[in-house]
Amino acid sequence: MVEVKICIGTACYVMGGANFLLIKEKLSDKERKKVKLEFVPCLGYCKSGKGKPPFVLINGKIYEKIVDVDALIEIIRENIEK
Amino acid sequence: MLALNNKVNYLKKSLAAELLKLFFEDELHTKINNIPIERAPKFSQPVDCCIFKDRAMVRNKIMALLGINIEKEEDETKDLSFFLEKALKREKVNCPVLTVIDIACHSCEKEHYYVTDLCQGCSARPCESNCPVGAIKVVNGRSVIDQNKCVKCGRCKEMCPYNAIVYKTVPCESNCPVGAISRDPETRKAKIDYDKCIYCGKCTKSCPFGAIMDRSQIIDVAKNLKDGKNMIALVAPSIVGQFPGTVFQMVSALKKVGFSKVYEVAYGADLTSKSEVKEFIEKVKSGEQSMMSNSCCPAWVKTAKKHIPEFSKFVSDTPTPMAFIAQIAKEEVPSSITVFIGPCIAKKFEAIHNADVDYVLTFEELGAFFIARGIEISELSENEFDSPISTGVGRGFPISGGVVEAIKYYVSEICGEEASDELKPFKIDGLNKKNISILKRIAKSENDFNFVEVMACEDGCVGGPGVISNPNLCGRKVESYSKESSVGG
Ligand code: FES
Repeated sequence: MVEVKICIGTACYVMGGANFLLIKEKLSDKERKKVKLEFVPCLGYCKSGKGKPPFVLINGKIYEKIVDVDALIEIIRENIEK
Repeated sequence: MLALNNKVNYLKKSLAAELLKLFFEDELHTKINNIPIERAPKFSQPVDCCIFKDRAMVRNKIMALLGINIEKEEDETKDLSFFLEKALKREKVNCPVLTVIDIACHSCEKEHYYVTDLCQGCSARPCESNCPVGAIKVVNGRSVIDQNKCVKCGRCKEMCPYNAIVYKTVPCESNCPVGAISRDPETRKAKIDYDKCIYCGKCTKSCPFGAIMDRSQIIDVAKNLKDGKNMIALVAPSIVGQFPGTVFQMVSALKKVGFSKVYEVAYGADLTSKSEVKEFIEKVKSGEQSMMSNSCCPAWVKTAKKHIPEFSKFVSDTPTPMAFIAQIAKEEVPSSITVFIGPCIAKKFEAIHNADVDYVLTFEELGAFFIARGIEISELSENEFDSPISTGVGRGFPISGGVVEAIKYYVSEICGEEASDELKPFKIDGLNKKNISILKRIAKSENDFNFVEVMACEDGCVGGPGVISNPNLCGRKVESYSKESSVGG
């Protein structure tokens, strides 16, 4: 199971995360079964100055500056295959 | 047009947030000149040809964010703090609302068909034999198009079995619905003809180099907020779904930014619809004219005036939702400074010509304020708007078809249920070259409809150039907020 925590705090949302809400429609049924999706409030990274929003936490690892939903799907797919 | 989220857009938003953060922390003056270097430090991987070009890009984008008319600035020795000073000193913003960043402009070649190296120099040569004007020759085993002879029919592209021929476009030009962009004959840099421009902002969303930007007013708004002025936010209905949290948490967020009151433009949309219906009864129902069109979209009104003058007489005279709500705000608090916040660049033009609206921000720009102030919208309590409650149809204005719904509702409100059959609507969803020629035809022919809704942006305002959120997602949220209204519609 790939655990995906998508930050929808203000900074992440404004910098492109708004489109992550489309992710459910974009993953295939098969993929959806392998992914546990969660939308979470500000993870705190934006204020720490480490990295750039939008942030997504995948299996405990933080990914930064994911410019659009398709890029996020790519990362999730890589994690499914691992 | 480019995808909603891309690196050009990202850079713009992140620079806006950085400028505002430094401004509110009283550090912008001392740090602004360093930003281009910090964004492209030595030995970093350049985005463009080298870090020096990257720095120049950042510098110019900052200038546009400071609201500078870049074409007019000749003196390249001035540093960014000079332009900051200039921005802080201005009392009013002015036209034009767009600016071309010549250094970013790629000087694209004229649109043309081009043979790529996928060309195999085959024996059949369908490109050569199907070209109606004999513009194709095979040289050194590869087809070559004589651009002077080419009539751009595209036959060669269709016929090539290797898909070796492509049509190379000029994104800003091909996305401009009214042919307002040309290139300087010598430098090939983009130039906007403001006699033709309708301020729709499509060029800003299509240039892959971000070479056309709207001149931002973030600094003007930030300065007044910092000075503690009495500021009123007028928020367009498409704000629903642009940010995390609820609409009413959004109101609190705006107050946290420093606005004393927050008015809903959807209420203005109710007033616009009512007034348009009265006009419809006077002009169309009475038989005086054959049809009418909406006036709420400033890019459409400009299009009619400048490009379809024969349609102009059908466009309603009713003030826009922004104009109505701004008038209310200024009457209630005459000393206030009003800021329209919406998805639209054409509103910047409209506001410059309306004394009741002082500034205009896009949602992207408002987002930069939230980031700069570290505001977590979804953690705030909810707050009511300071304007009267809007109806469902007023709230539904920003989606394509929303104006028609509102007009229908008010026709039956004002003239009774049966009268709503007399309204025969037709919709134009987005201004492009094709839709403009449809409108030209409509203006001259007899039609079986009598109300034409035109939205310059595809999907309606939710698809505007200043949005953050996907238009479909936002549209769905607008619809559900519209159903929640307690006052009908
Ligand atoms: S908003 Fe995502 S980390 Fe703060």
